[in-house]
Amino acid sequence: MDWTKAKTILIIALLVSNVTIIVTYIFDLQSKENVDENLIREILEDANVIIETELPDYPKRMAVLYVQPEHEDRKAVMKVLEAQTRADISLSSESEIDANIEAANRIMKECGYLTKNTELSLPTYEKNGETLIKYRNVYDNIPIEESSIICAVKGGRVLSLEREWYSPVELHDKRGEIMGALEAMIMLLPDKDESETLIIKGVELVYWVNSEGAGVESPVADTALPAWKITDSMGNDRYVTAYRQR
Amino acid sequence: MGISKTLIEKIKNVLIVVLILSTILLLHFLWNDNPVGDFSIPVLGGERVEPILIKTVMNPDKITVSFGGENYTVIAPSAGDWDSSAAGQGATRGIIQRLQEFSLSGMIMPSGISKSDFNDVIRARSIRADFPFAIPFSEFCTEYNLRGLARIDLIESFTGVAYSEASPNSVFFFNMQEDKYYRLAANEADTDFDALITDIERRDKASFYPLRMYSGVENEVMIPLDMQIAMAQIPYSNNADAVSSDEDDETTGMAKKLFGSSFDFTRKIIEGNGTMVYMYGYGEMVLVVNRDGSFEYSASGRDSNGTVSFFEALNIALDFISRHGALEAHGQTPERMYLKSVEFNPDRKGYRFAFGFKIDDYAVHYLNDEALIVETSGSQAIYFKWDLIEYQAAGAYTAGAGDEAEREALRPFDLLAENFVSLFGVLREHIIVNESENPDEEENFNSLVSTEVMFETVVQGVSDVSAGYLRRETGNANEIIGLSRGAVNIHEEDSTGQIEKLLPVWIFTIMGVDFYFDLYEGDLVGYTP
Repeated sequence: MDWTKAKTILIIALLVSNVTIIVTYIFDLQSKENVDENLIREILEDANVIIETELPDYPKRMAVLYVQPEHEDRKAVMKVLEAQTRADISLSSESEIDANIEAANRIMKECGYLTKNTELSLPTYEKNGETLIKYRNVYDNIPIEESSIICAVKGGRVLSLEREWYSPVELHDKRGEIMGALEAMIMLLPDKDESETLIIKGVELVYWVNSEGAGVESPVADTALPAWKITDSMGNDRYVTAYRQR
Repeated sequence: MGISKTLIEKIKNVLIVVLILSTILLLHFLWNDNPVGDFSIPVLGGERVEPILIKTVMNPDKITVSFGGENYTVIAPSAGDWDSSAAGQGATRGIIQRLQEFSLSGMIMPSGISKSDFNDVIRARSIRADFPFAIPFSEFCTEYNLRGLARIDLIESFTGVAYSEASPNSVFFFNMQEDKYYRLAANEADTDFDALITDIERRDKASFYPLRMYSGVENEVMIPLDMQIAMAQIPYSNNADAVSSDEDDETTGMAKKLFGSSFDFTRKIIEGNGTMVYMYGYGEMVLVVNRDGSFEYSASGRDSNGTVSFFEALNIALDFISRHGALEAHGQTPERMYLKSVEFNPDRKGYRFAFGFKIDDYAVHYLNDEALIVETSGSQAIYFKWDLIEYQAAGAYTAGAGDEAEREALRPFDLLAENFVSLFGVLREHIIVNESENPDEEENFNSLVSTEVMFETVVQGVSDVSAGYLRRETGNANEIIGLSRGAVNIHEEDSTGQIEKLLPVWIFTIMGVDFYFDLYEGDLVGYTP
């Protein structure tokens, strides 16, 4: 028997079978995901959950993010706010909104809060005649919630600055499987009134520090878990931990 | 020159092996529907966990032996006195083994008897074993193979068992918590309890007498007249300094054992005071690591459909303890552990087990908590708290070793007689605070009372006297510190300014309050309502 020829044929056969198995596995996985997705959409529809937003792409695996709560120096902030001069306040920009944003940016910089993790969040909001400008906390392009700075600005003058901030420290070295946004919406159903119609206007993957339920008063270190932030038509935000339950 | 044919053939051989292995692996993923990311090589061997047996930890608090003529002794059950199967081969048959023989005595007639009848019987040559908690009778009979007794439904639960030569064909079960006494009489019984009594009689032991003989006040609690005891202050550590957020720390190792594969996706919070909280999900599992070295773990239980039995729940608790290595992490062994109290929680369909630890048969008492607590609900453990300390191995403090030579402990009745006024004062404060619970006794405490009434009230209220060790808390000298359960710690600063030593004490339990007196100096060092 020509063993050389037999080995060559065997190698080719094994290669072909390996490729076939890999392709079958991938198709199987994708069709399973599609089936799961269709099933989930049906369940959500039956539960009066209406999705009026695009579902974002997301990484399949993520690690938890260790963070450090930051406590601001109120006196230093007040000093900066009080030191605003007429020249600072003059409306040099074309629109009032732009001028207000410019003012907020300036104050943020003076307070040392404009860092690589800080991202302006648009649009701005109006409340009691004041423009509220929000800055998000972002790590690796993923927002950290519930962590933000809100400046109240009027006529180019920053009236107040409220800061809830977590400094990102580092990612844990192990990553866990992340479920899709649709699966996360299923988790909302147990707390939802059956007759209530829930219209979902926004879905976003975030790092989330749950401020409730820990029973801890003044932490010096905490952990942000990957979570889906789901915003409804009333503007309410709900968070669902994104790790697939084991 | 090109690659030689031999080399090509070798490459082909390797390629074939690799492709075959990869085919097997790919088929594994495809057929078992396992995600590629979850693949891991299984660990062979792994950590072997020694189970903790019920017979190791569930033993009577004490065994009281009457030799007749008002001569008594009280012993801490040594290995084998209660259950000789726990002592190993060659041990004298214990009470359990003799109960097993009794249960095969044919027709057994159960009946309820009065307290006074029981006390009369026990005054004769007898032996009794007392537990600090109630045990369901039929489950006990099943667990310990007392076949002939399991059918008896007159007895719901008991806290002790006794045998008396005044009624040689009977054994007695009693429940001190409910003041109920039962006699199980056989036509003929060949149980030979007397051999056990004789065996104890031959040992070196202290003489005990009922409190009524010292005080003239009716109380059958046994206390020693004199006792030579070799107990010294024992330095201990509680790993408080070892608690840190270091990932390689023992603390984290314990957290990993409790959370399993979920540990890497767990929220970790560190408080300003050093306390660490690990939380999985929305609180399905929470572990709190306190700065003082104690741990507290809780898990939301699944809805349990039925209650498991006392012994099944105890096995669940012991299995949980052994699997998570709490004992080993603090240098403790199951042989030092004992079941201290049991409470049934009907809402959770489970039990709360509190465990204590002993040094040379002397229990270590905590002023403001228990050493180890496990709560079960159905078939799972839902709460686990431990505050363990490390100290030298048993036997390091026996007689003859320098300061630890045997010396005479202060007489407990003398302590009672010298301190009854202050004890009464504490009890009055405690009774008034809880006036809704003790309406009958409030009258005694609210009026001006004579010393005779004080003395009688205190003596009548004594339900237990024992020697042991007390774990005190650190703090300022000469300061009365109120602790979390309302316990009070009274101490003096020693020469080093540190108080992390176990103190030998007499423990008097009076109306549910534990009072601790220095065994050799006689000072009241604390009490726990």
